[in-house]
Amino acid sequence: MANLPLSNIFYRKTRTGIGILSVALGVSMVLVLVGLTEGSLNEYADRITNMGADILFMAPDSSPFLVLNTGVMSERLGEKLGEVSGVEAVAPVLHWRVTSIKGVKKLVSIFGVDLPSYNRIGRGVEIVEGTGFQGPGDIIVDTVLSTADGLKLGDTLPMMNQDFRISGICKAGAGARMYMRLDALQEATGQPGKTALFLIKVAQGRRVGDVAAALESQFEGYKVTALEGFVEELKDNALGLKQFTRVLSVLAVIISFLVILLAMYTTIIERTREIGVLKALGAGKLYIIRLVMTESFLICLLGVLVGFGLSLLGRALILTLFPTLTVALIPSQFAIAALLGIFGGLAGALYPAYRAARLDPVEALNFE
Amino acid sequence: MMEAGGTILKVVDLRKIYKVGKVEVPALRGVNIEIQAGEFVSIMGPSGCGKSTLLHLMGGLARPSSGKVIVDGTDLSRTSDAERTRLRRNKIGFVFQRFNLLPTLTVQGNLEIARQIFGNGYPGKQEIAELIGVVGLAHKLHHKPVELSVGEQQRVAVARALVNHPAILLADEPTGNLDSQNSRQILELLVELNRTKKQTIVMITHNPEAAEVGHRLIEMLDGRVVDHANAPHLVNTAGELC
Repeated sequence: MANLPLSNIFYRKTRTGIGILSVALGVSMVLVLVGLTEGSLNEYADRITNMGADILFMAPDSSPFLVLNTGVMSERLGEKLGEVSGVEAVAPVLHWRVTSIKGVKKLVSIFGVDLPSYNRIGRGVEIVEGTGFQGPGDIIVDTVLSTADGLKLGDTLPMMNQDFRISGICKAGAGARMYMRLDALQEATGQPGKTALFLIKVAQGRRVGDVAAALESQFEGYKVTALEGFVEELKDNALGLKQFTRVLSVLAVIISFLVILLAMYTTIIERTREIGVLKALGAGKLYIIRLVMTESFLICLLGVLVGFGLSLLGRALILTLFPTLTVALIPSQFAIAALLGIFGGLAGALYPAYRAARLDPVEALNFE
Repeated sequence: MMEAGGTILKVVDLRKIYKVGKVEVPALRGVNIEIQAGEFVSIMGPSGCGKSTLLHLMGGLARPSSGKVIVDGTDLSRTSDAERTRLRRNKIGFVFQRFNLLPTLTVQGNLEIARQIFGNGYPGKQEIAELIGVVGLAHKLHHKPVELSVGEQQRVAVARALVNHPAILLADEPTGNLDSQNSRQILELLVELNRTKKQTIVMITHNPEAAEVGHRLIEMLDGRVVDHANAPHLVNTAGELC
């Protein structure tokens, strides 16, 4: 069975390859960059929700991105929170971040915690190697950071103008990548007696919403967030994330559009005589349009498939080079990226297809 | 294909004027031709005499400036682009000087695509084999045009033109790019098609020997039909066209 569009795309392999690769780049750009953004966000949200707390209690106007907040609440506020009906446990957490580990630039979050109260909240710090804090200069790192940076028990880590000793390695997936004693972090960051948030565990049998409402009414202006809705709030507060995703999507469409427009335009010029022959054989305008559009569709489809492959490859590469990052390749994004690539390409093929359909058969046959 | 007898193609006072900028260039100046079904007609004339334009108008590839082209009862001068496309698809077969096979397809693919355009589904292997057998290239079915000699390419082009069983086969200098041996083979093929299948053929040629294979010779000069008696200056002492 003769398939002219299929045979055409294999005829000029370089041009077809460039077309496929360009569409693929647009598709993989959307998947990997959106995946990186969403992945980092989801991973962060997972680590917060996996701590096992029911409610986050923060100072007024605090951001759900804990890295943006600092210690503005008194640690003693925890005692008052513990008195609220339905509150089972309260743990103060001071959040900080360092921008390099052993001289390598990276942003690492640190929780300053009081281990006994922090562990009462839920999952706590699950030590897999070593011990908890033996002294104020001890820190605990999670397995991901330990593996990524080759951190071992007993290693000394200079941070914040001090040397810290790794006393334990904990399971990754909850809280921060690094923990130190609350008082040590308060001291190191010049925030004595201060905390950035309180993790609250609700007593069994009590509804989280009711307790949160009670906290809101008793501590007016403070930010009370039930962990159930944390992911949504996080995404809503991720300024520019939606716009970023949209810009990427538009870019992918534009790339597909321009590449296919150029590829099919040159194809039409090169195949002018062939189009004349097809018209002489009795091919109508619709047949010619269908021919050009089918060829473009095939290039876009192959581009999308290659783009999927590139995305998986890109994800593997990113995770190998930067183990602390997360790239979430979301199934719905695959569908969106595929549609964007194909839509952009087909839109780009419209003008060349129209031009081909309108070619005068005699002029086309005489084309040199 | 039409049975022999009856007018299959009629050209009445056909004129075609091309505009080159503001200048009007007349290519045909009132041509009258009548061709019977089953006839093999050769049209001969010097370059620029309008014979290719005439062929394009007969095949519905272009619209005349005035006059009529009546193919199997349909006046092409009064039809839309879509109707002329349909007529080409159903009634006309073209053979070109430069073969014009689709280079990305095999011999079989070139025949199948013509049938696909004809819109009657894909021809079976048997039908393709019969068609390609008619032109003696059954063993080259899966070859691409670039793998064929020029003579073979033109024979494939003839087979392709026959896919839709056209009422008229229009051949535009079919031997123009061929050596004498391949030219002879193509002419023999056309004669055979006309003789055995009563295929109506209108062939344009420069070559007086080629022109003689037809039942009738129409000579053109300066956009008009002339005959030998009326235009002796067209032929030199050796009987060749000037």
